[in-house]
Amino acid sequence: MNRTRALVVSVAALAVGLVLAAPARAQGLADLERKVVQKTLPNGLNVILLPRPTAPVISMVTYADVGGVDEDQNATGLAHIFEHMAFKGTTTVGTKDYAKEVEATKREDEAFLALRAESLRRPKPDEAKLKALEEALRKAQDEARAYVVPNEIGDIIERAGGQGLNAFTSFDQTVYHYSLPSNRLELWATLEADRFTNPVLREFYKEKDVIMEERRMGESQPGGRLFIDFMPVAFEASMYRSFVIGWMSDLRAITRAQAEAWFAKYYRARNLTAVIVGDVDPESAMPMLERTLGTIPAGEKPGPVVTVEPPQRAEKRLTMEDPSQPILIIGYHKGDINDPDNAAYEAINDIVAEGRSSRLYKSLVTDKQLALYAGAFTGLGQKYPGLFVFVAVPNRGKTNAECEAAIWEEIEKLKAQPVSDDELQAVKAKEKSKFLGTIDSNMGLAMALAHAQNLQGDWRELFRSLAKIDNVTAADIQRVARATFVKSNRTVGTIETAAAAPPAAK
Amino acid sequence: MTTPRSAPTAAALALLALATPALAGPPAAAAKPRAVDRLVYPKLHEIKAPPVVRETLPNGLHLLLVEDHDLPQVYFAACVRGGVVAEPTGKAGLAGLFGEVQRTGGTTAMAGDAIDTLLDGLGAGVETNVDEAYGTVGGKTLVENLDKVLPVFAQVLTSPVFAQDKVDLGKTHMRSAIARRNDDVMGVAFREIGKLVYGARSPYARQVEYEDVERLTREDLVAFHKTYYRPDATILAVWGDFKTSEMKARLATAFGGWKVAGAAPKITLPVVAAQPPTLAYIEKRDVEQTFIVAGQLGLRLDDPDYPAIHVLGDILGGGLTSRISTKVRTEKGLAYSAGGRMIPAWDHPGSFFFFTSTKPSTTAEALATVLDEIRKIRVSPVTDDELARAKDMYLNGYAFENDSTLKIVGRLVLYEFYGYPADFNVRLRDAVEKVTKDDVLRVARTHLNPDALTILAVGRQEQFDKPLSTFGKVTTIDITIPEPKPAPPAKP
Repeated sequence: MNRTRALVVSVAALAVGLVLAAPARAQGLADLERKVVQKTLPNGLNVILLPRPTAPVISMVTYADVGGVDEDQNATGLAHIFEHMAFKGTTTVGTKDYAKEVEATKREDEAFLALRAESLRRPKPDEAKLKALEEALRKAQDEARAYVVPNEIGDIIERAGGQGLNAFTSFDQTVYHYSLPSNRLELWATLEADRFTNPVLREFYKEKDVIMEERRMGESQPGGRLFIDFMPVAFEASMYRSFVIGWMSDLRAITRAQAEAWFAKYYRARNLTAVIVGDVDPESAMPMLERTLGTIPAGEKPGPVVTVEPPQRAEKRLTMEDPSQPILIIGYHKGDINDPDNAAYEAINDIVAEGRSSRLYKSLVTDKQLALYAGAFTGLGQKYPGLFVFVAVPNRGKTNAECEAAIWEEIEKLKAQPVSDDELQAVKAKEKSKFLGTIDSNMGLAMALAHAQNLQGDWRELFRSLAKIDNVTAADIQRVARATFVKSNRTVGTIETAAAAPPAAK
Repeated sequence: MTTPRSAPTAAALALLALATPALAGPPAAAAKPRAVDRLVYPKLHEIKAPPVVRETLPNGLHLLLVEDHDLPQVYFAACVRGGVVAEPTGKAGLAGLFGEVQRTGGTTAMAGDAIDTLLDGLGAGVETNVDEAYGTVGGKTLVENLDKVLPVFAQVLTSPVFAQDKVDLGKTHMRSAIARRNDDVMGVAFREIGKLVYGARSPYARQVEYEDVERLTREDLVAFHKTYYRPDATILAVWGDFKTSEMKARLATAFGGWKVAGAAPKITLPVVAAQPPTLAYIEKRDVEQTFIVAGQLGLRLDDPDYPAIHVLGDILGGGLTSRISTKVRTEKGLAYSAGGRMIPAWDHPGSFFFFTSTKPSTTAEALATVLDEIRKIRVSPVTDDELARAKDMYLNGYAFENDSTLKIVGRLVLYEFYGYPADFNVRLRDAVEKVTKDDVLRVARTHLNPDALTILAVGRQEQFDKPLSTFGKVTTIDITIPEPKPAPPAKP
């Protein structure tokens, strides 16, 4: 606590000094870094504040260190289901009469469990029973809904002027975020403390229907279909394979009790980080945050996942015949975000895929005119070993095979010759520009701090990332390319155009 | 205090917010006030706008400068009168091709590929685009590279050469985009509803075909630039880490020599006429949902009825807590996304759009639910609570009005371009504050007509819960992409 105060005082002094000395100069990144106030509350919840009072607004992030990768077979999609449920309210928010609602909810669960048991029955469920059980669930849902004030959390936040209220679940994390007028910080802290202490997973089975529609929406896009099918080919052991959204069978079968158990395990204070960036005064905010977020039960920090993706022994291929125009993706296994070579992967990404002078753009788009788009990205899985991915979208009349050959050519060049000094210099400039783009907004900065704190163990890593890129050499890039971009380490997924299936005969 | 929103108003709104749960009457709230209901908020810090410096150079170029020293960057944005509405007859797609090749085709000073290498090497960017009514050239650079990037930005804006090889490449990209245009189901739904609402030939909706691409030439691009890209038709905004006096001098040097003869051409805006309402179906087999859109013509942003329409939109279909989303998503679990509102346009009628997507077997149920909510809001007034909520959202959200320089500059450039007053946002806020329940009912009845609504469903109809014809006479639209016609024989 003393440490916090000391930091706050020095930050204030620094700010005054800056204003007097150079009113018209950019703050610079070092100044931004010095303004960060970090504190672990007594319950273990990590708080990071960064005052940036250019407008009377604040952006807040609650980062739960849990994602799709933490799920088990038979219950994929659970991380994302809980994320949806965290908007359903608490014992006091979102209910007309909690005591009666609890009773109605129990009947709803009983109805669902009966339906679940019948629908999973082997060799096959009884259709008449299923119908009756579905009807019983519908009735129980209607009864429970009578006690619900729909979307009350969202309503309170939006009335207060909240912007961008949302959350996302990814491979490695679940992140809740929105922005408010800065005088309403306590509203956020109060609601956040409440929903991560007393959540009520009301309207659970309706919300699962919504999530199944979300999955169908993704599958209705060719790229979505391709990635959903590509991941379990690239990853055979790691739960990155379920692509976060989860299998439809699991979405149907997951129970409210499972989601509550997920909450109890992963949403304790020791597994949460709260970040606030904007018009916030750390000195007055910190005691309020202790009073609110500090009441979330401490719990235990859950352990990391055990299963590690084994080395790939042979190239794998997936060809989807689909009505869409062709798409090509190529994934190579790589280390996690803390791998000493992570910065080298970032540099490779910049050299092959950032800007019109990048190697893939020049080769596939400009010179050979094979592709409408050619790119790459590194972040598919970060906490555990993930993928480095190449993507190409062929031009009309061009093929995946032609694009694939052109990508191999570029990959072989990376392995054969060191990249030029100019390309390395460009990497540094591009990274600086991207970095400034990320931290330009309060929300971007809050997200980046939360990610660094959790994935890399320290928010300061955010400000060290540029130096790490600066240290990457041409030899590093060549070594990493030679080690990673080998045939046996790759998975190639394509959509090859085929006629759509005709309507099924009635 | 000089906050745009007066303190008494804020206090009144806070009281209203506190009183609401009691009005709505959840019994639990009456027993023991909840923590969220007991909060008392301190006064909001001032919503300040940074000083904006405007100037017109002797050649007629309008400048708009804002200092922002938060990060060591400088941004440029030029907005040039022209756009899709200025495409010559028979040259559909010109604007799209221009938007790509203005940047990639190089300038009198530098080849396109050399520009790519220079900008990438500096982590900088210059990008071009052509919108409905204007073309844009945007730029960004680290402040230390300003001297290298500003000349490139200026050249791309004033003297692009549209190199033939990049014109050809741009046309290849256009053909590829046409070939792929039916792969993205959302793209299909919004493109086709636009054509049904504005008319397939309207510049606000028309799609470019292979045969249009064949007709486009380098000379068309050169002529379009020569005609429309003129200093007296351009607003140039610059913001970031600089001193205004120094930046003015730099801009005078960079753009002082940009001169054209004669008066700027007059652009006649296309006439927007209401189209007959249609109930349309498009078959698409590779989707797991039916994508439903509905639309009709709406209003301009400066229409006196717009503030009430905005409130109507929030209540009916704006966001998770709106009527449509609450019914379709929260209560019935039919869709991940459901809602809609009127999207105003600046200089022609905008349009209402409603959207949802649901599994084929609940298509009719979801569509009927959306239509039912649209009908209801025309029958009886919204509740006091709904009105208060919509206003709270807007007025409290006003704190974000000036939270980024990009937002401020973007707004001011468009106000100037379309001839709106510079304080239009303040006027709109004041007008929203005055909207009544009667206003909402009146504008719903006047402007939102379910009988004039065009409806489109994209999906697999044999799996629908009820035939689409339950809702009226169905027109099936064929979205097969027309292959290019063989070149006509040369005329003697």
